[in-house]
Amino acid sequence: MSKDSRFTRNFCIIAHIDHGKSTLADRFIEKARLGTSRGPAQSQILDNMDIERERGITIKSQAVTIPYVAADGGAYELNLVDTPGHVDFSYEVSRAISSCEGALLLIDASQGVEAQTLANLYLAMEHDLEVIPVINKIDLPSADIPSCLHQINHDLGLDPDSTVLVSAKTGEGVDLLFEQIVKLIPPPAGDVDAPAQALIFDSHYDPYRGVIVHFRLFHGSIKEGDEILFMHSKATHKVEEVGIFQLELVRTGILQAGDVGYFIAGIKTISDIRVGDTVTLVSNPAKEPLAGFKDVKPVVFSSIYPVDTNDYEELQAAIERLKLNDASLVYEKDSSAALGFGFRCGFLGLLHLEVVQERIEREFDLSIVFTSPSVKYIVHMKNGEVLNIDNPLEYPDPMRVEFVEEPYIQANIITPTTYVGAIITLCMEKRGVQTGMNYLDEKRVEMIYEMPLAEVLFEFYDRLKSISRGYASFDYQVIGYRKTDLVRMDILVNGEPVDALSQLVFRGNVQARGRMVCERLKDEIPRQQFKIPIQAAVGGSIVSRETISAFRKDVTAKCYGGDISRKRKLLEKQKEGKKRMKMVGNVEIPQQAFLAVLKSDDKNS
Amino acid sequence: MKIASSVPSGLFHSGFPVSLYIHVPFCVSKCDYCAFYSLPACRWDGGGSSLRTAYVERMAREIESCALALGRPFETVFFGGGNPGCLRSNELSRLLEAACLFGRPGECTVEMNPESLDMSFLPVLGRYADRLSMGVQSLDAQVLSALGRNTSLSRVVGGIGNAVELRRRYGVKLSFDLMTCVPGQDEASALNDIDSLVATAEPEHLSLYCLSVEEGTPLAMRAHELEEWDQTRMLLACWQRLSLLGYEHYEVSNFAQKGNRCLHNSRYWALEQYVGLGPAAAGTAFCEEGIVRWGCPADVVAYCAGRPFSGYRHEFLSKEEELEEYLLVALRVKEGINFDAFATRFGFSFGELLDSECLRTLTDGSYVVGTTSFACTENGWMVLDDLVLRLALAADRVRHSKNGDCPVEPPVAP
Repeated sequence: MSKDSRFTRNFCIIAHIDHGKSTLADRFIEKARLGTSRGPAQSQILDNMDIERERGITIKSQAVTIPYVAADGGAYELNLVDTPGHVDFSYEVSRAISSCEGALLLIDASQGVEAQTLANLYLAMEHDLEVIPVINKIDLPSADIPSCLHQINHDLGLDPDSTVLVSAKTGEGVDLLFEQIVKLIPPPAGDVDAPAQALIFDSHYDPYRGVIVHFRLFHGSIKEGDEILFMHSKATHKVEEVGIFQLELVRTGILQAGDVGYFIAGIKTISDIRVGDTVTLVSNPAKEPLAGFKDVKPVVFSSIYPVDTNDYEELQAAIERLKLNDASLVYEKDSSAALGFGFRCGFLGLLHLEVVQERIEREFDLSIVFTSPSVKYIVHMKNGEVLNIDNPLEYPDPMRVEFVEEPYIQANIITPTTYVGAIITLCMEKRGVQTGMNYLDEKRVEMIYEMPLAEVLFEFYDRLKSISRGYASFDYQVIGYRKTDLVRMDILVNGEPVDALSQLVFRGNVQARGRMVCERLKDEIPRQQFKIPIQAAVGGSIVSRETISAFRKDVTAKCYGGDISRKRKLLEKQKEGKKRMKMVGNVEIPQQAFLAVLKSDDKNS
Repeated sequence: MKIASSVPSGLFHSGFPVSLYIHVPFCVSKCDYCAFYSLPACRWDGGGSSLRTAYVERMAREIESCALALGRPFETVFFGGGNPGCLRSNELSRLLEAACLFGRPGECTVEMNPESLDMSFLPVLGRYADRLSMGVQSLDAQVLSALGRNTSLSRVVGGIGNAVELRRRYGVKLSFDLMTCVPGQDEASALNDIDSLVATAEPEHLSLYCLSVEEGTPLAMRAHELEEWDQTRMLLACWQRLSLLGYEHYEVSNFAQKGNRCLHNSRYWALEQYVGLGPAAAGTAFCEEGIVRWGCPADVVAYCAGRPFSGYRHEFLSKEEELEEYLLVALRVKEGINFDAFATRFGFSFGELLDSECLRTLTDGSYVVGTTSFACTENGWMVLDDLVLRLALAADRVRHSKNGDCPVEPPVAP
C-alpha cells in the first residue's frame, strides 16, 4: 500500500490560553463529519481529561486525522496535532509543532495578540512552519477585527491578507479555513524509501494495550511486525499495531513518510518513551536522529505525602500511573519526620503541579499533602563542592555555604498601558529588573523583565491577573543562574518543626513570608484541647508568631435514646474530616493548611 | 395481637431486662429553642375524634402487646415528649396502666411541663409513677421569654407547687430541667435558678442543660449562642453550686441526690435494650448479630392512621457502629467505661484505644485511667465530643491493624 503524500497536510493550532483552540478543533472534527452527531456529550472533544475540560486548557498533545474533500476535488487527509496551551508545557508544544508543516495562529478577536501568541509564533517560525493567522470569535460584539489585523501585520509581521476570519463557536469561516490549509500549508516532503525516521511527540497509556506512542513519520515507513529502535534510549521493540487517530484509534497496519499516527509495541511503561526521541528500524536504521531532542527538566519541585501513612503504597501506584501518561513528571522517594514517606516530584511549572495534585485526588481518591514548591538552587560550598538543592530539608548548614545561585527567567508581559504602573510595582517587589519595554500600539505595551523563577512560583501570576483585571498576559523562559542570598525558613507548630513546611526563601522576603505562613496556618489549623503556637524561624530566631487558642467547650448537652443514632452519624462525619488531617507531633494539620501556604494572598491583590 | 416484624420481638424473650420509652408527640405550643419532634396543640386538639384520641388508641394497644410479649414488668418506663401533660388524665392513666400490666417497673417516670400539671393528674401519677420530670427551664421571667416558652412565670411556679404536692401525697420523686447559657442570661441568674428551685422543692434530681441554638429553630433566627468562654464559666459555676448543694454530678447534664439517679436514662448510657414506641421514638435491642436500632418516623398523622406496629423501621448496627455509640454514651457517665464490661462486649481491651496518637491529642486532666475503668473528669466532659471523636478514630486504627487493612507495611523512617 502506498499513499500519495501530496494529499496530506500536517498542522497544529497555536494560541494563547482561552483563545478558543479546543473549540476550533471540535469544529474541524464536526465539519469533517467525524464528530459524533449523537449529541454534544463532551464539548471539547480533544480535551480528554476532566481537568482539561474544567479549566479550558489542554495539557496533553492530541492528534486527529480529518478526511477532507477540497474544492479542487482532491481527497485530503488533514492531520491536526493539538498542542498544550500553557507555558509549563512548552517542550511538548515544540515537539508537536515540529511534527507539522503548518500552524494556525489563533487570535481572539477581542483580546488581540498576547504573550503566549508571540512565544508560540516564534516557536513555529523556528521550525519553518507556514503560519496562517486566524482571527477567532468574530461573532462577539467586542470583536475588533481591524485592530487584530493591524497587530498581525505590525506586531507579528505576518501577511494580513492571508488571515482567515472565523467563529469556532458558530462555524463561520471554517470552510474557508480548510481550503486555506490545503492551499497554503505544504504537503510533507519525506522520502518513503529512506530509512525510517519518526518523531515521538506524545504518548499515552492504555491499561489494556500498554503505551500508545504518538508519532510523526518523516522518512521511510513503519508497519506492523517491524523491529524498531528508539535512537536516544536505544531500546528496541516489535511493532504490534499501527494506525491513525480518528475519534478512536483506527488500525491501518502501516504508516509512511508524512503521516501522523500511533503505534503499539508492547511497551509497558512510558518511562521507556521520551517525547522528542526518534524511532527508526533495527533492520535499516537512520544515520542520525531528528534534531531537537531535549531531556525535559523540571523547574518546580515539591514533595507529595499521603495524609494517611497507610496510603503510601497507593500513592506510589497513583504516581506511577500518572507517570504512564505524563513523561514530564519526575519523582523519587522522599521522607519527612512530620509526614512520613512520600515522593519528591519535579514539575514543569506550577500549573503542572496543580494538575498532578488534582489528578491524584480525583482519579485515585487519595488525600495528599504537597509541600511548598521550590526551584533548584546551586549551592557552592566553602570546600569547593557544588550541590543542586531543590528540597529545603537537604539545605546544608549555612556556615559551610560560600554562596548560592538561583534560576532567573526572562518574563515577557503584554498589558494594556493602564496597568503598567501596578505591574512595575509588582515586578520590583518580585525582585524583577526591567530590561525592555516596547509599545506594541498606543494601548498595549510589552514589558520584559528578568526576575528569579522562585518569585514567579509564589503568587506572581494570580496577582498579575488581578491587578490587570485579567488583561495582562505573561510568558517566560529560564535564562540562567544568578547569585542570591538564601535562607531556610522553618515553621514550628506547637514548638515542633514541621519539616514539610520549611521553605528556602530570599533573605529579604523572610519577614513577609513568615508572617503570611503563620497567619494562614492559624486560619486553617482547627483549635484543639490546648493552645497551639505557630512560629516561623530562621536559624534560631523567631521571625513571626501566631497562636491558636484552645477550645474550652465542645460537648453535646442532651444524649438520650432517640439522639444516639443521630449523634453517631455526626461522629462518623467528623471522623472523615479528621482523617483528612495530618498528625504532626500532637497537632492535626489539615491538608488544606499545606495548600493554603502555597496560595496567593487575596489581601495583597 | 402479634407484634409486627418491624419490632424485633426477640428482645422480649432474651432474658435481658427491657425498658420502655413512650413518646408523646404533643405540646401546647412549640418553644422557640426546640428542635425535637412534636406537634403544637393547634395541629392536634381537634375535638372528639381528634388525632390525640387516635394516638392513645394505637399506643395503648402497642404497649399492651409489648407488655404481654414480655410477660413480666418492664425494667424501667419513661413517658417523654413533647409533653405527656397534653394528654387527658384518663388517657395518660390508660397508657400507664398498660405499661404496668405485669406490675410496677423498677422506675416509672412521666415528663410534664409545669403549666400542664394540674391537680387532676395527681392521682393518676401517684398510682403508677414514682418519678416526675418537669421542664422548668428557668425561674427568671426574662430567660423564659428569651427561650420563647409560652407560659408565665406564675404558672411555672404553680406547676412546681403541684409537683411538691404530688411528692407529699404519693411519694413521687421530682426531677427538674433547667436551661443555662441562654442568650441574655448571666451567671447570677443561672445560679439563682438553681438556688430557688432547690429551696422551693428540694428535687431529688436535676438536669442542667447548656442551651444549644439549633439550626432551623425560631431562636436561631434572633439569637446567637453565648461566647464559648462565657458558656464554660457559667457551666462551671453551676456545676460547683450543685455540688455544694449536695447533688452528685453523675452525667454531663445530670445531677442527683444520693440514690436518686435516673435508672431509665442510665440504661441508655449503658446502651442497654429498650422498646421505644410512638412517632420519632427509637429503640435498642440485642440480637445475635449485635444491636438492632429501630425507629418510628416522625409523623403523628401517619402514626395515628396506621395499624399498631406499622411503620417502624429497623437497622442492624455493625460492631463498629455499636462501639461508636457505646463511646458516645458511656463516657457521659461519671463511672465511664469499665474495662471488663468493654472487653466482654467488644472482644478487645479498651487499653488498645489509648494509643499514643489518641492520648497526645487529649489534655491531661480531662480523663482518669484507673485500674478497672476509664472515665472523664468534669474538665473532660467540657470537651467530651472531641474526646469521643479521638477514641473513635483510635478504634478505627485498632480495627485497621486487626483486619490487616494496611496492605503493605510502609517502610520505616530512618
